[in-house]
Amino acid sequence: MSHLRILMALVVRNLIRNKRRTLLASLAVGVGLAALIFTDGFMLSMEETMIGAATATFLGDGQIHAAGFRDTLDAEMYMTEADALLARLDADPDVAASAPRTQAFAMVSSTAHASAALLFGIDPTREPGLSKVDEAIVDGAYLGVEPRRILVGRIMAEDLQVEIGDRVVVTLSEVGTDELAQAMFRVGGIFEIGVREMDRSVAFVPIDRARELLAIDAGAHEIAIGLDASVSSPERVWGAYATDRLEVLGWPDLMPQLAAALGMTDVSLFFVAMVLLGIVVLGIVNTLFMSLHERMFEFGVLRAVGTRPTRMAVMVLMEAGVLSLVSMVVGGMLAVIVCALVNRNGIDYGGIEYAGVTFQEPLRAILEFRQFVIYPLWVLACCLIAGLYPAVYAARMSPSTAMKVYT
Amino acid sequence: MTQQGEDVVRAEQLTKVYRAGEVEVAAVTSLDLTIARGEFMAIAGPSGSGKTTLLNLISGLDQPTSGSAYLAGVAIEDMNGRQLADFRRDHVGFIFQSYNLIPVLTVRENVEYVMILQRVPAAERRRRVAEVLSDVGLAGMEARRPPQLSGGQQQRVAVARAMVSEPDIILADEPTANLDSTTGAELIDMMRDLNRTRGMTFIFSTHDEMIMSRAERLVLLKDGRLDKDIRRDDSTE
Ligand SMILES: Nc1ncnc2c1ncn2[C@@H]1O[C@H](COP(=O)(O)OP(=O)(O)OP(=O)(O)O)[C@@H](O)[C@H]1O
Ligand SMILES: [Mg+2]
Repeated sequence: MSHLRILMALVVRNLIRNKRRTLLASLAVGVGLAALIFTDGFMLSMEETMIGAATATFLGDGQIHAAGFRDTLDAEMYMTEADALLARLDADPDVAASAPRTQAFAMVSSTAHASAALLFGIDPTREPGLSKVDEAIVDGAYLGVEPRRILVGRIMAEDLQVEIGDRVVVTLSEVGTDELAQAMFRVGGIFEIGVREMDRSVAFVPIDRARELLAIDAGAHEIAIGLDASVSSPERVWGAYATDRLEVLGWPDLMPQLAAALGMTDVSLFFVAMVLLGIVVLGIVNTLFMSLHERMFEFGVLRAVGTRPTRMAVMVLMEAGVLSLVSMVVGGMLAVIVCALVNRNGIDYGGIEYAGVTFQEPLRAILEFRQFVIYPLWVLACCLIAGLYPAVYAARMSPSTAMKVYT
Repeated sequence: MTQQGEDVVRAEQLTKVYRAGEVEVAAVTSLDLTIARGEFMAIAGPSGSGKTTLLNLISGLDQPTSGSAYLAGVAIEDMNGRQLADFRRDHVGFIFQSYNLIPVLTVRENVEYVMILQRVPAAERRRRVAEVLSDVGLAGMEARRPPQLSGGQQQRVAVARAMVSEPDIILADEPTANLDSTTGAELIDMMRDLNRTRGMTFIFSTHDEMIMSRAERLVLLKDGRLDKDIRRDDSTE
């Protein structure tokens, strides 16, 4: 052990003696590490923002439907037990909010034009706890007690050439009889959610009026659920409500395109990591070889006086290890500093729509303890792997060749 | 005083051929040589005559192309890298022309390095370092770093390091080449003293006539072959 100690002293003192090179190398590796941590934090924030935007805007964390409804969107497949379910959901400590909805294809016509619409009946009092329809109103007002009010998206309003207070006629087919039902509404509010599809072809009316038109009594097609922030395993909550007649799905199943997009961020993080770690490896190999060539004669002397080849390799690996430790500290500090600077203002993606989600707030890098453990360990592993080549080189070097440098 | 001992070095038809691309250079050719324990021997010859190569071959720093070298009875060509390292650690002391010492280690650490490899206990190491440093006239310099020493002092530390674990042989490749002639002569005289008082076997190479004249046996090389082997009886006192 004493021998390892003196080798360690050699390594550390040489790194100190070459302060500038040691600093530059650890800065290079540190920048790589900081970039990794930052990228991870940024992706994390992007994921959270996207999931948050998707679930908080309208979707909810999960939804209950009659089994099979989502495949056909057949208005006949409604849940008769909606009120009982809502009562259970209200009593569930894991559930923060829930709201019943009806859903039907309809035609919305103004005096000028007609638009195909997905007409949602929503509970004006429960809905704001769950979605942001109320906050998305850009003109007029959200639904109140008045039953003959309709909310239309900004694009639909343009298509129909309607303004607040204008009349529109909604035509849909009654459930069961398939007879056409028509009703007159006044445009109470115009909303802009930022997702084109919703702003163009979604309309909201009070759920009681929708139920009357559809003739489904107290039925509902969907119950959107918002979970308490403390819930770590949504699947367990869903399981409590699923029966053979009721299907409960979380957001990844409700928005598979978003889940896929988030899967892609993992892939891109992986590639970023590969590139950055590749740079780390090259930087370390280069530094180790510089240090080795500079001290070639010294290595020769150490070998000459009886240091075993494997010990020479160990010494080079120690140098790689110590360098990576210094780099971890440098990189960790850099990561904290960069993230703090970026997070002061955030990176503005405002209004950009991606995978069916619109970014509302600026993105920030989210730092987690995990990032400061996993990525430094990766860097350490990469440094040691990078050190293998110079280590083997040092071990294989013949002492007489090493000492030819000066003689 | 030539000690009547067994041969510490025996070279038989020792040959080393370097290949530099197409060209082959015979650095040492069919050389026979025996060195007895306790000798104080110089190897001389013009530049490129094979002095360094010969020293490397008999100390296990390099492997011969053909022929054999035995050091303390062990055939060098039969050993692998690790065995050679252990062998050098236990049987050979080295003094080089310059840059002998590890600059970031203190004088003490430089001298005790070999003993650390040999797992000599710390107290014993400390005692022996103090002893050899006083032998080479550098008592109390343990804590200095090599760059804080003069060239002559550095070479003395190298001598101390080479002898501290009492090897069978100490090899010195032009130990005085980077010293002025007085300092060089003093270093050789000190080695000669250690040879007499401790019975240590020294083999050194040199260009310098004055240094050669201090040896008790002089081997002259020419083009990698043994040219002359001169023993000076008057050195026996
Ligand atoms: N690694 C090598 N590759 C090719 N040729 C070499 C190598 N090492 C030594 N030589 C050649 O071998 C011959 C002997 O070299 P060596 O270093 O033993 O001479 P030397 O007597 O020590 O010379 P000097 O007095 O200059 O130190 C020289 O011709 C040299 O060019
Ligand atoms: Mg030479």
